[in-house]
Amino acid sequence: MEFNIGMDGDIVILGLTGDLVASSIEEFKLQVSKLTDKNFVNIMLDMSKVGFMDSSGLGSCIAAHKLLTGKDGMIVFAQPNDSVNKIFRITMADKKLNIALSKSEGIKKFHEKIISERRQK
Amino acid sequence: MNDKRLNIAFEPDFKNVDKTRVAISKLCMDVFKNPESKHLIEDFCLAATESMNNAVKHSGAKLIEVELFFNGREAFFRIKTEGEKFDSALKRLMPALNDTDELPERGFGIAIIQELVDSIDYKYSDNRNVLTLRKVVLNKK
Repeated sequence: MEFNIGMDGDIVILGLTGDLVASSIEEFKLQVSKLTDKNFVNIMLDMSKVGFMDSSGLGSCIAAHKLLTGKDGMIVFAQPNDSVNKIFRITMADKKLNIALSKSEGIKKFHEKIISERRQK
Repeated sequence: MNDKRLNIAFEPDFKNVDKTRVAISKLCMDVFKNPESKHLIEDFCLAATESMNNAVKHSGAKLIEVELFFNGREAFFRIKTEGEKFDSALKRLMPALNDTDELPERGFGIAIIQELVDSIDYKYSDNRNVLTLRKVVLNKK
């Protein structure tokens, strides 16, 4: 698995290339953990180059979601391919996780979160 | 019955699951060439992967044996492991993500298998678990 890190304002764009499966989830968890250690808590995971995901990969996405929401942050899973999106759908994880079919939709979700937080203050 | 088949035995390691999944996918694509089969093959490969992952995680077996074979429109994946009987796990349901605030990180594998294949057959004899998954993957060209 390869990682590519970029920024869009305060949002970290974490690009994954490879399969998100049992053999690779520790690498993914480590990357997310490194980012949160540096107080980056808004992450958009670019999944456009993830070819395959199994239930262990799904579990790692849920773990990342829990970690970041626990720090008042957010993770958006952007551009999953059809087979990856199917895992989100059949497990109904799509009802709980922030999934965006495009990068622009992903960025919009962060903006909505910021607006919502401002209203609450 | 199609003559093409695959028999692989591997030590319990997730890297070996990755290699076996790729081999299963390639052979299925070779047997079922029509484009409509593609997503059905993906489902079948995911179900096979989940069963191999479970064997690596839970069986305690030193060797995992898998077979892939075909009959007309159907693909079959069989996995054999030595060890204790595990069929009660097959009754597990999908964690209810929609009903609760809980977000479980595991427990999806068997439920995903049940969702993606047309039938599951389980047998236990001579200290061996034998699980067979069957999936209709449409007509061959």
